This record gives sequence, C-alpha cells and structure tokens, in this order.
Amino acid sequence: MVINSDDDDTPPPPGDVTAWRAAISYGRLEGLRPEEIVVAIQTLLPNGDKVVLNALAKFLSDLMMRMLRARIGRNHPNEGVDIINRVHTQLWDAILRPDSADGKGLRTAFTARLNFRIKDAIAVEYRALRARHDQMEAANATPAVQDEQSVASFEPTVPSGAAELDEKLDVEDVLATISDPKKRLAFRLFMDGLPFKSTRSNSIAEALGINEKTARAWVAEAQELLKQTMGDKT
Amino acid sequence: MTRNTLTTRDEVLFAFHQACERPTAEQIIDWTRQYPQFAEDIRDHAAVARDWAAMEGQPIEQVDETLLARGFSRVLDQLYKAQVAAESAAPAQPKSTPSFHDAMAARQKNVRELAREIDIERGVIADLFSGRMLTPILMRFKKAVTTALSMTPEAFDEAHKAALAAPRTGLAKAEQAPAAVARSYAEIIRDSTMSEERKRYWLEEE
Repeated sequence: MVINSDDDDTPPPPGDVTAWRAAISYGRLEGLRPEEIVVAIQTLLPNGDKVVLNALAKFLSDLMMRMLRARIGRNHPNEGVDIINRVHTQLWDAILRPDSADGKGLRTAFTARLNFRIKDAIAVEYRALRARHDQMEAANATPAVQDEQSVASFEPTVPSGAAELDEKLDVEDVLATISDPKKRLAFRLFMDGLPFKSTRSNSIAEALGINEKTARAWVAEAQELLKQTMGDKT
Repeated sequence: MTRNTLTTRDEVLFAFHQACERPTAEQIIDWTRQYPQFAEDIRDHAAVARDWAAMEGQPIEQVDETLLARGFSRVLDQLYKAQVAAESAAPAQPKSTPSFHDAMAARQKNVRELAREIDIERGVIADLFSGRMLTPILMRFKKAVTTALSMTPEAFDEAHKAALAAPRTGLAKAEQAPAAVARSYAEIIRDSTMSEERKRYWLEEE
C-alpha cells in the first residue's frame, strides 16, 4: 500500500514498510491510534527497517512520556520522574514482547493499559511509603490511651457543600499534602456522605477495611488541615 | 473475560480499573468482597482513581525535552537488546551445502584448469558456478564435472540448486546494470565460441 496524500486516516498495513515510511514523512502518525503503531512496531520487530522502526518508536515513546507526565504529579519522590521512567521501561519491555499480557493489552487498549500501569505503580509506591511510615511510627509510638482520647474527642461535621471549602483546587492542594491516598479516599467518601460505620449501609470503615476509630481519625486529619488552610486565608 | 473468570492480580485490578473510573464505596466493597485476596490492592487503586477523578479539568503538566530524550534513548537500548536476543534465539542455520567453488578449492583447481581438464569453454563452467545455467543439464557435462571435482551427482545437484538460488551477476556493461541472466545449458553451449564439433559433443548424450 502506498500513501499519496497527507490527509488519509487509514492506517498502513502493519508490515508495509513503504506505507509506514510515507505515513511518517507526511506526518500522519498523530492521526493514527497508538494501538496501530504498537502493532506496526511488533510486526516489524526484530529486524525490520530500522529507520521506520526508530521513527515509530520515537513517536510512541514521546506520546507515552506525555501521558505519564500528565498523570504522575511532582508530589512523588524525585518529582515523579522515577515512577515515569519505571513505567515507561516496563511498558516498552512489554511492547517488545508481543506475547506478554501488556504486549497484547497495549495493541488492543493502549490508553487503558497505560493508565492502569501508572495507577498500579503509584499504588505500589504509596504502599511502600506507608510501610516505611508505619515502621517509623511503631518505633516512636506514643501511649495508646492518649491517642484514643484525642480521637474520641473529635466530632467532625459534614460540610454542607463545596463552597464552604473554598475552591476545589485549594481542597486538592491541601489533600495532596496528605501522603497516604487511602486517607484522602476516606475524606472523599466522607464528602460523598458515607457514615464512618454502619450496620445498615455502606460505610467508610467497610470500604477501606479499617475500624471506625481509624476512619474518624483519617477524616479528622484532612479536616484539620483544611480548617488550618481556610483559617490562614481569612 | 467476565468477572468470575478473573484469577490473577493483574486481571482483577485491570478489570476494576476498566469498570470503575470513579469508584464509589459500594463498588469498592463489592469488589473487595469478591476478591478478598486483592482487597488492599483494590483499595489502593480506588484511592488513586479518586485522586485522578478529582483532578479532572486541571491543567496538564507538560513534559520536558530531557525526559523525552532520555526515554527514547532507553527505548533504543531496549530495541537493540531485543534484536540481539532474537538473533541469539534464532535456530542455527543448517550446514550449508558445499558450492562448486568449495569443491573446486578442495581439489586445488581453478575455473581455467577445470575447463581445460574437461575440454570445454571456460564461460560454460563460469555460468554453471554462478547460477546462470538452467536445468536440464546434459548428463555428459554433469559427469565430466563431478568426475573432475570428485563430487557425487547429489552433491552436484545441491550445489547447482544453491548456485541458482543466489546467482552472481556477470560483468556490467557501460549502459546497463549488471544482471544475472540464466540460460539453458543448450543455449550456453550454442552461444559459446567453441568449435562446432565441440558444441555437438557437448550437446549429444553419450
């Protein structure tokens, strides 16, 4: 297949080097689905036309980097660069092994598979951070009685609406300072109107697999941070 | 793949990722009940998913050139390693059939000597060796070559097949690109500069 125009959205056949070379020179890759480029790379591997292979790899690599950067914020260690590089390398390993689960997944649902791997990498990193944090807390543990008193004396109130919490972005900025995403999730479920604990309906404690005391403490932590921020602004 | 057939961590979490873009408490409870062995993973993924949902509509962070360049550099390295791995994993090539040239070298002869030995024009031998002689080949000629080179008829056939599969070009003319034009044995003999008597000899069966 030979492409003669620069407005043709039909993807070249995966193994048609001439057509892919034309698509590259006409700048048509932007108009193609990333799945089609993955299939072309997997078809041309390992010893296909190197100029075409490298051009496709460059396009796809840059696309993946942009998607990774968009999803992985600078609130992660090393401004998120470590996670970005890790996922990028992991997914390219998969592309170069067409029979692997991700190798197949990327050629059928590229964005979903990429986002899934980003999400998993972030979740794994948070879990590792949480484990380290728990170890440090255990080493510096305060008497349990005092902890229970402070939690028991706190009675959070359900905010009546987003307006009370200033702009949404401000809320997210504050929540971003909470290192554990499960604590943020507790607060989000609280904002959804979920009770801390209930025998009759879904609850924060049940959704997060924690007890009521912990659910209350996590939500209180977020509320306290928000109160401080709102107080600083008034 | 339905939810009931999911078995691995990746399968379950990917299905959850696909099904619950903004997980609610009900969805989290439902999935953790169905897959208690991955409950903590599901909650962790749900937490990240809700973070993402809350950030919808926010400005997208732009990637810098350094990150792009380093990423592509790693990809080139991965591509190279994949190519090397594929080459080393490829089945070993079968032992190649000895060519006419191999057989001739083993007898410490050259084309000129061989031609003189069997009394034929050198160009005929050159055409055979270079894959420019089509079958059928007269038995007389075949027998003369195999005798001179101590080859079996089967080895001759294999060497001929290999020569035809990878023909060598003749000398290029000034106005033409070099081309390997194969001709029949009879045509090669008739077009040679040998005497008519020698031509007849090489065109007749014994």
